[in-house]
Amino acid sequence: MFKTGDKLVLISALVFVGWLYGQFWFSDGRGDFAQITIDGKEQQLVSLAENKILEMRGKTGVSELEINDGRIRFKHSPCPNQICVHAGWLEHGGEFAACLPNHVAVEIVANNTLFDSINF
Amino acid sequence: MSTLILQPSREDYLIACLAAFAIMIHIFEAAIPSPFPGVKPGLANVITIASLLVFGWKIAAWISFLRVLVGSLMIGTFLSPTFAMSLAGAISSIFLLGICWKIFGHRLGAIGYSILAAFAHMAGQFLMAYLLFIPHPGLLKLLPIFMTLALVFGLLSGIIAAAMIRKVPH
Repeated sequence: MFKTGDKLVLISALVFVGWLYGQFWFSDGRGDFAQITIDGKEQQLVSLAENKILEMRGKTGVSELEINDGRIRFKHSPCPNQICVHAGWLEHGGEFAACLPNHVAVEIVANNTLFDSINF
Repeated sequence: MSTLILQPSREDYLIACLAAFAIMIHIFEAAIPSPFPGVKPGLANVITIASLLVFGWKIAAWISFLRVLVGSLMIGTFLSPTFAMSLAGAISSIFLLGICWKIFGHRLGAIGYSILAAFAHMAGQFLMAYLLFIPHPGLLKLLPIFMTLALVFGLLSGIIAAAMIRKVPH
């Protein structure tokens, strides 16, 4: 009843369905890129695939941004209250952190965003 | 006054007869309640697959198209969203079957073709639903479930079609 071709189709169909589950259920909506805004206009898109530390020169000094395991955070920032550093790791689409004194902001860009929209 | 007489060929009778079988199955199946909208066992595809292997692609395509058209007229879903999805599914599955039939011919059996047709049918239907009715990424979460069901039902109708082909002398 099963020809060799049928078996191949069945096996590839099983692999395909498995891949679909991985793709749509177990990818947790993590962002692939972070958008860094400096002084409200200077924007750059960085990939989160590579672990590294970025140094962003802002209004009052240098903010260190750390990328690790698909996430990004403010490691150090020359500001008095360190709100940006305490925002912690950002990993899901739409998550946002900003160092207001230094005019540096980071937002995760992804297809699946955590929020529909944000108002300030 | 001139009269035009259309003489139906043997092939026409064959298509009509097989399409009638497919439509009958289609209508019986419509009476079965389903937990997911748009998910049915698709047993009418048994006829399409068996015709493909016994009579070739052209007849299978006719049967598939007639089933969607007449089936929707009989059930009362003609030109409704259900009909659009059904037609999209039938067109994509018959196209994939055509391509695979050209490439593989009889190296694939009823089960292989049935699984391919079920996948294409579901994908076409899903794409139609996504583009026309619910263009929201959340819908994609349902895709793995729908495709799993397509695999199960495709395998099932493939086994039935294979058994049927063995019974039919050709």
